[in-house]
Amino acid sequence: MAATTTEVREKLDLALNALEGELTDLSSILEDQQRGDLPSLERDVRAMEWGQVMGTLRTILDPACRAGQMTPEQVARYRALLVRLKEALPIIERLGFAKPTISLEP
Amino acid sequence: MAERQRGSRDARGSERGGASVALFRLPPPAAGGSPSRADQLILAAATGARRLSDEELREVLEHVAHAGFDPNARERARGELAGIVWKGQVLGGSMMLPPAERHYIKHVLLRREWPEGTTLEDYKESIRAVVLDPASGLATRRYEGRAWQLTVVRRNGALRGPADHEWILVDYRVETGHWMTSYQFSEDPQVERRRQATEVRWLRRPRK
Repeated sequence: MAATTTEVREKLDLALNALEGELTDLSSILEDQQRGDLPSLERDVRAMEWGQVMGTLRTILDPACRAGQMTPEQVARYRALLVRLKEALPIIERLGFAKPTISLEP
Repeated sequence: MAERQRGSRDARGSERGGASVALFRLPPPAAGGSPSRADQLILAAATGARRLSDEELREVLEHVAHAGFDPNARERARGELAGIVWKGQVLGGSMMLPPAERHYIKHVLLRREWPEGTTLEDYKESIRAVVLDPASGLATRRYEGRAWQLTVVRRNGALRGPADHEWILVDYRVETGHWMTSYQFSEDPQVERRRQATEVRWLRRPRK
């Protein structure tokens, strides 16, 4: 059964929330790592969860934006998150997390 | 059930073969004691030393299904979970949570990967069911070249939530003898399994 407009909007909102949530946590993860206060297991769990969201970016958000499925508010939010993601690349590199595989240019 | 504190952010939302178990050197289990036979079997399969019989695979999956998250570990809540009310307490970003609770709050309550109304017990039971489901795919892999894991993936089916992903994943780490995480995703399982990992070996492919 095809998803309704409301369901698609909700799915995209949740995907945007997930990307925002991971971006929010990056700095504190790096701080803990630099203090030697990040257990290796927790670091790996966070790396896996980060990878999950990079997959969401590639398979849900980027295609939806290109296909015009986002509301204007979602497009604006997505573009702002791409800017944050681009700014976070040095942190991602230092943590050894997966890098995004899509273009970060809005 | 968790909710955002008023005034804080909005809620957001077998192969067959071999007869005996070869011995492998494993790091000491976190809780002490010897590595379980099931963990030795996983390593044997992961390294390609031998194929597991159907009976051995069942033994491994029973072990993994009941391993659970580590009840003695703690993971930091961090900013994404800050402001959530959990067990009558507003979570702060620096608070430490048992892994089962942090993963439940994040993947079920916040990200809504599981159906509405899924409880913490439902979440853990769904993980056990996915591990034991013959339709699930099983792969071993070496995370970042150092830690062996058994990964279970299956179509989410009735476990699909509003986030509308396609697959559910369970990762079990041999070194600790516990689940690492369980979440849902939309990426091709082949791509998802190879991310940050080497020596990926399918023991059983997931049913499409």
